Amino acid sequence: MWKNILSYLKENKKYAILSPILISIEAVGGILVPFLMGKLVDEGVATGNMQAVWKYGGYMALVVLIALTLALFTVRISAKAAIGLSKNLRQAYFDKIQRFSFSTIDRFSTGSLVTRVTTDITFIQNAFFLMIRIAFRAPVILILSMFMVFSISPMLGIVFIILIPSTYLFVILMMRVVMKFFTKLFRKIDKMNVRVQEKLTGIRVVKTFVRETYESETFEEIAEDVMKTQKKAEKFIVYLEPLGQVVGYAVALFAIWGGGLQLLHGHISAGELTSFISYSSFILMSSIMIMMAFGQIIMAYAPIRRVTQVLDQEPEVKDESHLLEHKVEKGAVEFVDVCFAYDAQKHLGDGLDESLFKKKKRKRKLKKSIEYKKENQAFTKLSDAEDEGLKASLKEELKNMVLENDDLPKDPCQEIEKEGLYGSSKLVLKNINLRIEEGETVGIIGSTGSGKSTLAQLIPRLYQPKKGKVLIDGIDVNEYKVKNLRLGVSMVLQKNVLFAGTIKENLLLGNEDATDEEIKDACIKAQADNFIESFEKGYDTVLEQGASNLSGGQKQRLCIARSLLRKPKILILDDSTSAVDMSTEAKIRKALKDSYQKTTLIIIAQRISSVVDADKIIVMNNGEIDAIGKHDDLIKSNQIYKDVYSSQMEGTLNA
Amino acid sequence: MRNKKTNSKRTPVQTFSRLFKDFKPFRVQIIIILIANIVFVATTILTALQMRKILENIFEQANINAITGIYAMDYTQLTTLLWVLIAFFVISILSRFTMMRLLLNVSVGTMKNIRVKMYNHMLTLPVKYFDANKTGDIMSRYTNDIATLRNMIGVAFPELVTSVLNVASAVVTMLIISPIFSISSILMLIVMLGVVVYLSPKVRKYFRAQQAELGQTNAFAEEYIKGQKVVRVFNHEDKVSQQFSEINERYSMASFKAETMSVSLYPLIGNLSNLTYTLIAVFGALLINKGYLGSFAAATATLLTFLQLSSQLSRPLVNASNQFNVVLNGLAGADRIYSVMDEIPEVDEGQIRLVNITIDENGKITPCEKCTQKWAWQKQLDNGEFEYTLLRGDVRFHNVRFCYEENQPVLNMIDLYARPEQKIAFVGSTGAGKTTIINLINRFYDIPFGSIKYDGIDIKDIKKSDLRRSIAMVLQDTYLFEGTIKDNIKYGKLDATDEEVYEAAKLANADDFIKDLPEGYDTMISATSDNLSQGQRQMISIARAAIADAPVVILDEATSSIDTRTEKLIQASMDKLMHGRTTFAIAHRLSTIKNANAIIVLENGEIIERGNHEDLMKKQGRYYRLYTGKEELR
Ligand SMILES: Nc1ncnc2c1ncn2[C@@H]1O[C@H](COP(=O)(O)OP(=O)(O)O)[C@@H](O)[C@H]1O
Ligand SMILES: Nc1ncnc2c1ncn2[C@@H]1O[C@H](COP(=O)(O)OP(=O)(O)O)[C@@H](O)[C@H]1O
Ligand SMILES: [Mg+2]
Repeated sequence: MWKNILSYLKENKKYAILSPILISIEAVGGILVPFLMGKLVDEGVATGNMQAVWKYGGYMALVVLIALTLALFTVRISAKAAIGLSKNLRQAYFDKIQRFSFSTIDRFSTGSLVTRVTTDITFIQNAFFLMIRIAFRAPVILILSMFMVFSISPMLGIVFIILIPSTYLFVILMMRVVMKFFTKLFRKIDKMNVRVQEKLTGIRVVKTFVRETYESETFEEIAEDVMKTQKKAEKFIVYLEPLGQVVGYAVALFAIWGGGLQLLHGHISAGELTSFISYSSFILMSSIMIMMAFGQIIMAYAPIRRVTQVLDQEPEVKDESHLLEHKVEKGAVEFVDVCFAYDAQKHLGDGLDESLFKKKKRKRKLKKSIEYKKENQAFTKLSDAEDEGLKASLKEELKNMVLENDDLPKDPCQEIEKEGLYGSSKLVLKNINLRIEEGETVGIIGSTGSGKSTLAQLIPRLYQPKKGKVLIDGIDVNEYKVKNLRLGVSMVLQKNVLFAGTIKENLLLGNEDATDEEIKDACIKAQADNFIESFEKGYDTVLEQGASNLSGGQKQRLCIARSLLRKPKILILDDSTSAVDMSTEAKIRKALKDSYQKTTLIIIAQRISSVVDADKIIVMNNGEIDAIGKHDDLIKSNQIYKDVYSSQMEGTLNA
Repeated sequence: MRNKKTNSKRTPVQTFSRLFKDFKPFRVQIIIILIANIVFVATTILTALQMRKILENIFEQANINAITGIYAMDYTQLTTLLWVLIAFFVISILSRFTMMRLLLNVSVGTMKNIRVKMYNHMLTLPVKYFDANKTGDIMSRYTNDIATLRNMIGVAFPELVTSVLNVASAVVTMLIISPIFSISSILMLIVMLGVVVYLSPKVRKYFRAQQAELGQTNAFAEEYIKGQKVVRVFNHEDKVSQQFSEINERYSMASFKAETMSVSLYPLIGNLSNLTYTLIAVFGALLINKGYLGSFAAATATLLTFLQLSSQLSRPLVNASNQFNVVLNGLAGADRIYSVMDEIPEVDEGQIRLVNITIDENGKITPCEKCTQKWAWQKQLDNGEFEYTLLRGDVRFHNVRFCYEENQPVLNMIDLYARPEQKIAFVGSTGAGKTTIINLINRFYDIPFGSIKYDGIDIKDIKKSDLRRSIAMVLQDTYLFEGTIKDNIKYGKLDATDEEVYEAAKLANADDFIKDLPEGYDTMISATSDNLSQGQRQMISIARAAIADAPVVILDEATSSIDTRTEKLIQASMDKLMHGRTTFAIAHRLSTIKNANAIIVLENGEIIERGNHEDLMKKQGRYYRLYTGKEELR
């Protein structure tokens, strides 16, 4: 998995390779010091030869200076490598999310995605930084020390060679178990963070319902749980260091005992014994360090896993190089036998059990929804199950379910309904057939949840139909490059989003090259100019996150202006004037009509008045088109339309 | 109200002392840790001394052997010495182990406490704070800054404590063994401290910048992941990606500066110590040669022990210097965490409480826990007795003026009253100040001028939580939380039964679509994923308010995303809900508020008309023209 991550080193690769090498050289310097020291003692001190003392003293000083220079240089390049790695990772990660399908984003949940891009990647950065500085240094010291020991006394060396690696082998075997705990820990931390984030955004709700106490109590519980899991996981890491000590001390003991014996038997000199003991303390130190590095590797496992999981996701927008460069020229829209269902959501968590699902998807295409539900429950149980035994039996159960339901009846639209990857999902659009001519104004009316927004979002390909085709100017939307498609189709979403920044910056999102005049013009048409100008700083007024300093209607009008700036061939307004008062809305409609005659206008609305003049009104009901017609026809022939109309009669059209 | 940078002027000492307060619950464990640490250090030193003894012993024997030429040895003495050494080793390992294990408790526990504390404090902050600070940046304190703190407590602190003890003991031992040799080591110590003192403030600055940039990165990522749909609609992926890379670059730069500067300390100290090592060796050899140190064997042993000791001095120093970056980064994180905790909570000086009551036939009011239908305001008089004012839902504004930002008045001289059980509607173009008025009633914001009275009591005198408990509100922006639909509805009344949940959902007309979902009321929803349509979410938030069963109801465009046919269905049941309650409603569809007792027409933060539908129609003013579509609002 590290391998995967390391490919993001890119331009910093040379640093990442160079720094362990330099550090190893530096480490050799560190080893040379006691070696020279031994010489100094033997040849200088022991014989009273001051010349030798100066000579070796000089060597030692030289070695230290070189090591210092090298080390300072290495710090720089290793920092460059580690920080560069995290920078590239972060960028790649963010860019990847921008290519996710929306259901994937939903599945991961925003909170988790955000934590991964900062906390997890920072963790990887720190671990990597530590590793290239220590992980190579310590083994080099260890091996060299062992080599030196070996050269002084092969017999002692052999003891070390057996003792040390076997400890590490043990640790490596343990690692696999511990990593699981960490994965679980991160999952829990994620959940906790999602909770905090939600409450941060929805603080008004918490305050409205006076739930502060409730919130802090439940949070305390969650935090407690996280703490317990964390203790469980990190306990092992804590044991590593004393274990390193054990190894180190054992070595020291052998050194002094064995070394002493050798000296007494005259096999080695006093100087050799001195350096011998120094090496054993090097071994102690480096074995503790290696243990700590192991700790890092173990702890970095979960963040790496979480980050690679995102990086490895299939992007929604695939390679487009084979597509032609057509642009949306006219703006005619056609739906042919379109069926659609959202991928039902199941949070991905850490993805440990995903492989199971992939298999499942392959195994069966169809499934009765009731079984689906059972299966879903089984999965939930599985992912919550703490006990290994229970987990295994649940897994078995799930597999059986998958196998049982391989052959089932087939009906194209229903097929989709039952095919969702992560559980059941409902058919939101059923057999939609529809033609919208260029330049037409089309209204869409229908009750909440009838699929209006969904229908509209298929046009700019925010989602793709599960079956059937959406054509623009006779060409399948999949045949357009996404960029060209969305340049031609502009949509004001039902859920408005403005970003932190000035009003102007937000408007420029619609069209980067818009001039000030164009901006003002669009705002006048969207009836936003008035209120913008009433602000002290006008177009340079800074919007807070979520534009919390604007009223609902103001936000909507800005969003409309933003879309107008694109000068699209097809403009979709998804309930974009619900918070705008009616007369303002009428003005907006008039402005649109006057200035954008050639633009195909699709208006999703709740008020009849918003669509009364439309060339065509589509009445949606329960994912189906109930009727298409003009106001005058529908008012006579369509029951739903009649109901909607009469529900709005008073207050608008009478008097 | 721009994001005011609370550039904390805290000194490291202040931050530390604050952190130590957070260690309080673990006092006993910390004491044990310290003892274990002292034992650990002591055994380390004893080990060194023991080794010296053993070496001396061996050297002596070796000398004898060399002289006699017979390789005999006295095992008895050596074996005892070795056993003692082993005992020291075992104690050392055990004490280290105890220390690390307890430290895990302390660090993880402190983390938890700080997390909970920060969360609890955050809940008390005024809405204003959340207007001004990006959630992503606040979140970063929960994730990234806590992580740095964790490293500092769990990794750096024990290392530092051990180091300090080690250094102290090494210095003492050295002075005992040979004051002359010590000079070089002490010099090194001074040099090192000098470097630390010199570097710290700079590095701290960089780490602060790093954590702040990380917060920005977090905020950016959050904002743009949440707003992905808009980004896609406008083909803005490349632009956003580029913006992100700028922020990313800034963070990396800050990080690079902080890390290189702080991490350099490690090799610097390490090599300095090697240099000292060399100096001692040369110096020592000189002294031995000159015969200042007595017999050759003893002097050599002293020198060797001393070298051992000097590495004992330098190793902890080197280790400590390796924690330099962790500590400074942790401090930067702690600063950011404490700056949230230092934010001033919502003021709540109100004393008057809301209680459920019964009234006997004499009109005497007595509080009672179980009853639900009636409420009263309970005021404690000076003599300790309680005075009750029946909650009737009479709300009056006197000369209320308000602005979010100075010099930009949003509400101007608002005078209005809502009599009990009335339905009051606000009409006006967007931005007129309707939502603002409502935010003042439940004190999301406080008014600088004028007063708002609730049943004759100034709302400032009412305990905030009770004030809000008396008002059920459907906010203009719908926020739902992660959990099942049922959980979300229950948020309005935590102990609600399933029946009550279904009842409330039916009232909001949500029952039908919920039942249609594959998992019904147990369908998982969350704040960010939108698996429900906007209107459906709004219906759930209506149900959530309905179940709260409060005497005053506020509906801020509660049905704006709901189609009119469904709205009409909801309307009927809502009227039932509103019956007997004071209701404030904001709506664009005038039909929904036609039956209000009073309709208040707002324009530019001022009331321009008021009266019921008939009055206003007769008056033929703004409302009339609006209703008939003859006039258009600005
Ligand atoms: N992102 C989503 N994931 C899963 N289901 C969704 C999602 N968005 C909408 N739905 C479901 O699709 C149906 C139609 O929603 P929508 O098109 O938004 O309705 P409308 O715009 O007509 O109010 C609803 O029942 C809703 O539950
Ligand atoms: N949190 C806020 N911070 C600063 N200004 C705000 C804030 N909320 C609203 N405003 C401003 O106050 C004015 C009134 O807004 P609001 O009361 O939401 O209007 P509405 O009548 O549409 O509900 C608007 O001009 C808006 O820009
Ligand atoms: Mg919709």
